[in-house]
Amino acid sequence: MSSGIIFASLALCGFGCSTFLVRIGLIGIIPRVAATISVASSCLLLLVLVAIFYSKELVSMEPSGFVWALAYGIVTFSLARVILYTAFGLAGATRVAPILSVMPIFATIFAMIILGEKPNFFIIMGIILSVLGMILILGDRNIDVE
Amino acid sequence: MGRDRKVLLGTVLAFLAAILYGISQVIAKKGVTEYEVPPVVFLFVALFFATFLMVISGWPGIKSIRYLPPKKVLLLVGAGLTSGLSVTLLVSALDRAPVVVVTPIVALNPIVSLTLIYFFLRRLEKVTKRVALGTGVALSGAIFVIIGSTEL
Repeated sequence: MSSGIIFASLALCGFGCSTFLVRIGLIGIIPRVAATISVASSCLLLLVLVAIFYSKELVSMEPSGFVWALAYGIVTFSLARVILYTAFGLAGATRVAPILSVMPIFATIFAMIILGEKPNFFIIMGIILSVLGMILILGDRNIDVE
Repeated sequence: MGRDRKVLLGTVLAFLAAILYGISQVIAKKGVTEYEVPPVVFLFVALFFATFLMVISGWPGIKSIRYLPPKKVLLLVGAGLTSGLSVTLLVSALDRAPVVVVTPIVALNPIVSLTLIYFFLRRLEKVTKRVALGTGVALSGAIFVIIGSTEL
């Protein structure tokens, strides 16, 4: 569990840096093209890792696992990332990035329905606080976007 | 399109992205744990397929990449590399901890991006006191989730 929390914390730093780089890189570029460059770069990085460490696992991957990976690719990269980059271009990172804080609510709902996970009191409180923080940010009309 | 409409549309799209990212956490958890696919392999297949789909579906626009300023392309490549690394860490985290623990922690990435924007992008966007307060409240939420995760 603790290694999962450490990985998640490192991922949060990486996603934050990525958002910052996208915000600068997006200026004057069609979001869909920007998303394609970004996804292709991520793919190249993973290609190197798979080629070095996981070539056997790739070949022996079960068809059902393959289907879930395809579903993940469509939802996360082909849809969510393009939509997110378009949102960055329209409303700015200061407004859009905090909106993603509502993600745990949907993840929790789907995790309860599909995986049968049960969040406890502290986790529910944490999600509520995350949403409150997001509402504070969204209610700010003084955010300037160039 | 007026500025208010742009912001409204951007906000709606951001919510839609949040829903899709929420669904994707569960898909990743299911694929990686139930079918015992290594996270890196799972992500590579997902990214390869997504890249193929995006290049095919957006071909006329993709051709314009060669006319883009190299500096912009490099920034987006950098974003893709950091994002690729992060998503690998995220799926690895989902392999080791429940979705209800991992997702709220990762959802706090705006704290990092807003801090960077505050220090380096002031001419583009303004980080107000209210945004800082909201970010702080959201951070306290993550601390609750981490405390709660010790009971699971």
